[in-house]
Amino acid sequence: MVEALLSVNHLRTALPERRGGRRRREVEYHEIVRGVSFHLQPGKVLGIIGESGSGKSATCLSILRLFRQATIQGSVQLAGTEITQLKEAEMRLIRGRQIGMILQNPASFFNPIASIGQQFVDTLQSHQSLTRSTARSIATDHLAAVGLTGPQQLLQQFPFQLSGGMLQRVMIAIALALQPKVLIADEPTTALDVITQMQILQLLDQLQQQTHCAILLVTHDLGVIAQLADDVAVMYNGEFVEQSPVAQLFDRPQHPYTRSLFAARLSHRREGGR
Amino acid sequence: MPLLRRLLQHKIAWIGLSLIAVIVFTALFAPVIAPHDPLQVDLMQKLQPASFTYPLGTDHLGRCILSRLIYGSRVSLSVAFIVVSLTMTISLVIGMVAGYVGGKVDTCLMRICDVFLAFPSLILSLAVVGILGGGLFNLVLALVASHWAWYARIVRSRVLSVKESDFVKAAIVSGTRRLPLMLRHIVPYTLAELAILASLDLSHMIMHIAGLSFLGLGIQPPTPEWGAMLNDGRDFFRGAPSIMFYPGLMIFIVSLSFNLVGDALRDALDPRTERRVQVETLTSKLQNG
Amino acid sequence: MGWGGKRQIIQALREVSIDIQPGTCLGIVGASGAGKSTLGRLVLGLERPDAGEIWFQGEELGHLPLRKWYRVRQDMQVVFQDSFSAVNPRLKAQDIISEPMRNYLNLTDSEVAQQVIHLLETVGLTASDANKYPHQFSGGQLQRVTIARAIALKPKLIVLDEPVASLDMSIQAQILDLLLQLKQQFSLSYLFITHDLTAVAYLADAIAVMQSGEIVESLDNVNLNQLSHPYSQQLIAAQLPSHPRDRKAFPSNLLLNSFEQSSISS
Repeated sequence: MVEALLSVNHLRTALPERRGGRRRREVEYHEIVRGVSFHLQPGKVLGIIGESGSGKSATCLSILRLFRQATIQGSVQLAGTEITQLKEAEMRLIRGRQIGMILQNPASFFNPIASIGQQFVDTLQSHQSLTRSTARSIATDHLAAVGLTGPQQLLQQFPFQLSGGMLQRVMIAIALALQPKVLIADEPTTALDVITQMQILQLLDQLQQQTHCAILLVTHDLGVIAQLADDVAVMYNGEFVEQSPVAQLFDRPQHPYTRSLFAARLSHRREGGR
Repeated sequence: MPLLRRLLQHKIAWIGLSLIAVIVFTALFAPVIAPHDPLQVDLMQKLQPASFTYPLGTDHLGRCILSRLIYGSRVSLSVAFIVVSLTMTISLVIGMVAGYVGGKVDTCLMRICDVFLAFPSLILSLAVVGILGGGLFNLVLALVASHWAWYARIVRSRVLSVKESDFVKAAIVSGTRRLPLMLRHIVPYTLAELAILASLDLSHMIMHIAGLSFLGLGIQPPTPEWGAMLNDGRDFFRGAPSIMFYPGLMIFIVSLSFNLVGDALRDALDPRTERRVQVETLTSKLQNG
Repeated sequence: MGWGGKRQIIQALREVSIDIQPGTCLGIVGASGAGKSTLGRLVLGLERPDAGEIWFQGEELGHLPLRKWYRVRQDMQVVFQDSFSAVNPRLKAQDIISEPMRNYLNLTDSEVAQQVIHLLETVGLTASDANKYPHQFSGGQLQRVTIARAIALKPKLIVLDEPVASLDMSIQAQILDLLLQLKQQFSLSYLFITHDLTAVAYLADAIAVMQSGEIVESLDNVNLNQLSHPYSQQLIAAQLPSHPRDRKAFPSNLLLNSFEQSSISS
């Protein structure tokens, strides 16, 4: 069996919640990820499906240690190295380059006062020694690859000038350009139209074909899972309630929650005589 | 009221509010609290250090510094409040009309704004006071004239941005007419920001008043006012620094308090700042990596 | 039967003509930037057409003066894609929902409150939700609030601009079910703007496919297999599969460069 690129074992994440507005600050911890374990193999896609609030984004943020206020327990190993205890400076080397990430809210990803080009190029250069012009051409190529027109002009623009969908594609372009070993894609296609959606999924697939990376694909859409995932974990209330290869999940969903997700699909709800 | 409750939850707000409360209290009850008449001259007692009778000492005319400080707060605070209220009202109306109505009205109003903005505020207020003379009314006029344009611009840009948002469009589709739309949806947005700016600006206003008085152009002697006191104390700084020190300290404390409250107000007025998970700007992480 | 069909020609980008029959839902499908939202805004009077006519209930809207729009708006409402930006975040749900009522009807406060509760229950929420602020709702729930606002005046037409695109898949079905039920209950007409063919097949009675500001194909039913235009075919091909065995081979014309020329080495 091939060694897992990313191994997560018994990951638990808790957020402190302050009780009441009085002087005494009682802190109660609210667990949003409760003991999640999975392994990502190179060249494979693990899909995590769940609804908003199930903890799937929190899982991604916890792995990357971007969750400032939360306490994280458990083990996360990248190619055998434990990364939960690494210093922040060491984590920065890992983020983007070793573990790439595509976030849900593109606006929060970007520095509002730097141009797209500046951020893209700086990011590329910080991970690899490249001349500015090489970095720019990589940037323009990837922006074009994600379906953005006029990539040269785009580099000059600022985040506020782009729509949410465009920012999302820029974010994906950056993540892909860094060619990480592991890519965590959190709802990469939400709110994009169907054609763009397919383009993005195709890009992820192509990246995997070429670099043999592992992909953790987090989504609420069973269609995305059907199209791209090799294995699936169903997340509910902070835990995996079911985990199996994709065909098996679609053919024989076991857990009642999984079944309810399948039942909620539009294609299955159309009544007869309409 | 939920706003007040949220405001009070802010630790910083407590400091600022309590300081302001103390100062307002002393201003209101000045006649009771002040040990002496601030205008009473006693040349035999001039330039005295701190003592039991004169807790902060006396100035060059033998007047009690503490009493003058306390009465001075009345002047500074009341003038500041009047000016800020007038400025806010004028700028709110002009900014709203310019932003919402747009077109020629907007252009015309903004050009007028530009004229006023072309002058640095101190110069403008100096000019007004210089031409019209000193005194309270002219002081207020000068300060309002030098500040309204800046606020109006801000209100206008806020209105312009809110005008494009989906909820305003939804309100239009719901049949809301122009005036109710402005009052119900746009004003609250601009008012919040205006309130924050005003509270921050109060501190600036107080300093501006002090500045003008320091130059002898604002509040006329012998009315006690912190800036004027600073001016009085200049000649005696070597021997009796307290004449300048205490008024300076008061200006500093009051400015700081209003700043703190302004910060807290900003947080309290945003219904969404309650409990947000902070995701770091990933770019900086990636970039530094 | 009291109101004429709607015909509309836009020259913002190209020529567009559509008709919506009373009590039916017309689905406008296309990718982003196709001009679908512009169409919606023109119908609602948020923008003016450069040429052409918009007929609604026997009245031409394209050249209607602003003050006359007030009357028209009572019969035409909207549901936007992002519910959070479509409501004033400082207002409670009941103020949001009651705004149209307060604009047109002369009701007492208690009558308004009653109506609000009735509307909340109609859209699947509860009376206690009336006092909540938008940030206290989930996306799906807030969308129900905006739907409640839209049906408050029992309009004839509702423009649905991507009403479920931002919602979880499982919630999408619930909201579409709600819209379907309301359409039947109140004999509403919908202009349903979306990029999701499955959603269109679910809710609409007729389809118009839009590309770059132009209607390239239309059907008066929702049998997607009858769509023959190449762009329609592209849209169908881009729909996600319902089972891994139906995985779509990525069509080569959809995608562009490969990464080999420009990548940083690993």
